[in-house]
Amino acid sequence: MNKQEEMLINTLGWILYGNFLMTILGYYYVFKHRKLIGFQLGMNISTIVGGMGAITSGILLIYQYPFQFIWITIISALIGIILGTVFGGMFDYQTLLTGYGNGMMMGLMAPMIGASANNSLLFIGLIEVIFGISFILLVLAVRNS
Amino acid sequence: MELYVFLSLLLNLLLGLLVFKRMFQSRKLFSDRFGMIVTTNFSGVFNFSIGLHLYLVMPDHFAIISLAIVIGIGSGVIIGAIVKFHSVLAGFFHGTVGTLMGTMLGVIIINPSLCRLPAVNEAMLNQTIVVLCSFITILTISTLGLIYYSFRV
Repeated sequence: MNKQEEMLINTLGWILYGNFLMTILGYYYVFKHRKLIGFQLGMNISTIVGGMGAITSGILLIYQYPFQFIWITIISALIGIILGTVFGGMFDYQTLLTGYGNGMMMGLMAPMIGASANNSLLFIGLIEVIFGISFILLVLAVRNS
Repeated sequence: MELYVFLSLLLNLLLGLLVFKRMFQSRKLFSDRFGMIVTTNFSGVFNFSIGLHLYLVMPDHFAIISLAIVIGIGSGVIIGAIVKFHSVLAGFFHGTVGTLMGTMLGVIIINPSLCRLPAVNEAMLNQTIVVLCSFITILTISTLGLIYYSFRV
């Protein structure tokens, strides 16, 4: 293991922690404006937050613990279910069902993608950029609705 | 272990038939949006579980993947045809995608070196199959329970 991979593995936990802080900030922002949001935008918000949160946490966890595939699959599926349910539960029962199903599907798929792209710094950077762009789009969509 | 997977497959089929029967009884009460969401969730999760269990029962025959895809398309179209025609499209697409994802998870459990994961021996393979089948069955029970609860609201 060379020096770059060692540095990457040491920073993975901090990246995961930053993602959770960003998700909590997004939850407060959407919760403050939830009276202005219709069900169409609410369905898309629960889909995108559940799916992207599950994919990012699954890939980061399978990079950090590469020998425990089964438990990482279970944990990332549970993270997707919880994020989709919490974001969809602000609006309606049907948005809750949408967020639940989509977060579960994405969370079951995420460790396979992470395991087949082994330990590349570029892939982590791409996934983090997509996660940031999805939150920027969410804030813009809530503000303009 | 084979018997466990087979009994789990039978349990999943029974739960799917139960939810289908309950949905067919109260089909006059649905709006378009509710029917589309129920179709999407049901065909995705149910066909994921059916594809995974069918591959794990007979992992040697690769023709079982084609059978699983045909079952997925058929159940998605049947569950979507209860409500309206655009839920038929949603059921078709999500049934196909769910079955493909389920068989992919089964292939990776049997042969982990496809994804550059470390290989496992025989005893660990049995334990892995039992843990993952139980987890997917619990997920199917909870999802179909949420859908079943939403029919009476």
